[in-house]
Amino acid sequence: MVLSVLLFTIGVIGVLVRRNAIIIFMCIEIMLNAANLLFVAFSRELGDSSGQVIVFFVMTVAAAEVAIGLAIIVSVFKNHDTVNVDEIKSMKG
Amino acid sequence: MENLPLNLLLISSIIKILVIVHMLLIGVMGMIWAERRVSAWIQDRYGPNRVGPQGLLQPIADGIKFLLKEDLIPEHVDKIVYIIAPAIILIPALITCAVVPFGNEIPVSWGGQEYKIPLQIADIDIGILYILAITSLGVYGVVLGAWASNNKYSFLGGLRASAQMVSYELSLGLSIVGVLMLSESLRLREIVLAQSGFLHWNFLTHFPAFLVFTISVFAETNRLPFDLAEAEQELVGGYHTEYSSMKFAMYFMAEYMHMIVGSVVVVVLFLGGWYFPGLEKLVDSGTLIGGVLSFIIVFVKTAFFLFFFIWVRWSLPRFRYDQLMNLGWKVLLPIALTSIVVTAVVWLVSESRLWVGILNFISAVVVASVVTTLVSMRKKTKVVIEDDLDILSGESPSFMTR
Amino acid sequence: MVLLVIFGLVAICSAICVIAFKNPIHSALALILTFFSQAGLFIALGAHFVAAVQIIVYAGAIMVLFLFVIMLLNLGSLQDTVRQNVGAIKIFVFLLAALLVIEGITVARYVDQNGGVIKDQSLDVVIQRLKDDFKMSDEDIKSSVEKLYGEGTSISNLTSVQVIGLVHSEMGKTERIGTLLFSKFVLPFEVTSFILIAALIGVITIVNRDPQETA
Repeated sequence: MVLSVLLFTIGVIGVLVRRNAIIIFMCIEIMLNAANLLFVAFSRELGDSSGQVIVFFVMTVAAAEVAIGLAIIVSVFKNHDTVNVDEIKSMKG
Repeated sequence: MENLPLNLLLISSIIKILVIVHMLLIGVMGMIWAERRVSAWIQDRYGPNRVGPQGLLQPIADGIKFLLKEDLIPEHVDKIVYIIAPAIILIPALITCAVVPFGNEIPVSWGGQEYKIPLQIADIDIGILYILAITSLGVYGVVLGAWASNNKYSFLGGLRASAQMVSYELSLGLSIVGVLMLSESLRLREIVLAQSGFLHWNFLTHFPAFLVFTISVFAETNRLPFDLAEAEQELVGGYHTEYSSMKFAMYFMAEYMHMIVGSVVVVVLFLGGWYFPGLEKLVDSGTLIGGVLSFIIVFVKTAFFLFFFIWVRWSLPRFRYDQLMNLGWKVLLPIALTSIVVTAVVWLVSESRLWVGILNFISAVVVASVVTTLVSMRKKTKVVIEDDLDILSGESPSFMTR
Repeated sequence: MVLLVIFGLVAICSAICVIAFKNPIHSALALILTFFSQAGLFIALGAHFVAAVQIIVYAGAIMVLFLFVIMLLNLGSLQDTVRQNVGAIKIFVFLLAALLVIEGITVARYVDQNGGVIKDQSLDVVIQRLKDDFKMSDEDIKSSVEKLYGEGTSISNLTSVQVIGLVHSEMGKTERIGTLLFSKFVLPFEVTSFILIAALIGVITIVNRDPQETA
């Protein structure tokens, strides 16, 4: 459990520190994984399989999220020629 | 698996691991020899016949040559990734065979008692999922090797390989769902046990799934109709252009190992594993002869399938890339999906393998013709792509004959 | 336990590598290693099915996509600089980490003290749970008990540690998870399929759009 907390923290640090959109994405994956680990650990501790089923759902959602996210990154790259989140300012109008 | 005493389990596992790994390596050598001889035979020439009887020692000579060559590492590569990439492709090929059953059980007497040892290193609960998971890692070796080479042609090969393998993995996974539903298990051993008797062989019940699976295995191993990743005429050598010496040999060996493992998996899943019409009783008897015979049957079936691999390679031209993607996404995937639905519904309604088989076949033909018609209709409204090869026309679902 | 520690250390080290490496491809590689050690952790925790799915979905599909996009956009050559206002972030991160670690330890303590749910429940409750969640018949339970602890043992004369072992071994099985997925969790399961379809359509529309339109 401490482990998954540590992983989660690393993920958060990553999101905050790096500016490359893809790396930020990877850090989000790390955070999701940490949550999954917590689910499995608790499901073992409590003797209840529901945790493992929920991990399964989290993975599906993560897959969908990655697909969309990467598509957005690709189209942003096409428009702006960069994936550096600080340089993409068009959302600010 | 029965409860074996710990020391017997350890000893038998070590022996099995040693035997199977060495069989794979020797099998690779045999495949290299067979590929060259068979291709020569198909093209009406001799092939290697000087080193040893019938050229049988040729692979050893090749291996020595590879070992003695200078191991070049080009200056512009990403060193670490460049070096580990061949290992990444070889390891999955080796560890998939851990769960593949190579035969039925053989009896061993140990400490005065009789035990039955299955000819399989580990019979784990998630069997076939393990194989799917591990084979999906093979693509990293290709992609990373391509990227690390820092070469335009390798890079293109890597991009092609990754897109191709991800697409075909889907149909690979989906096509076996029907088989799993009727076998009611993910364990490879139980899947084979469910196929006792010729009419229970899965390729009869799930013929479309069998075709889809076979084609996907070809695509996953990057064999010829799908070898766009290394297309010599277009991309020099594809992803392994920059590799030399033993590292190149590792890519080469990995390809053949993937072929061997893929063939064994096809045999186990669809071609009845160690069963053969008329020999079921003997194979299941649990005697030494039965065990050895089961192994021989698996071996012969695998050998035949490997011959089929080589045969296809030297008979078919390569697909164009859009054809490859069309085939994967618009034909194989729908067929695999309908196969799942039809199998589930028919099995619930009638519980008869005959109907499942017939309706699976009919639905696959219908789906394939509908899809190909749709594809060709769409193509007509678009700009005509000028090319000497015609795009997937709606003639027939049998791509093996093309 | 040894496995847990080893895989845990590997997971943390490679996760640090993900954010430390300059080159996105190297980061992606480290992330693959993280996912692998996570799969190892799942196996150590007895969740075999989840481990297999983890490798198929994450290592087999998601990371290939990542690598594909990185290679396609050729990001390896781009310089990725670290953000400017690092000082403030450092303090924030430190606080957050401390908070999370304290919370984790408290929760772990609580669970340890109150000893999971199965530890102090009577045998009947456990059997009822197995029947409810996994739709197991008496014979199913009997056969898995015999498989685990040898012929002739029945569930009524197992020690409590053995009962926990039984529940754990049942939990990891694909069959049990499947049963649960299609009985108790049917609705979420259907919803996920809708999410996937929505994602599919979304991706197609995003990528298919003409770049000129949005520029």
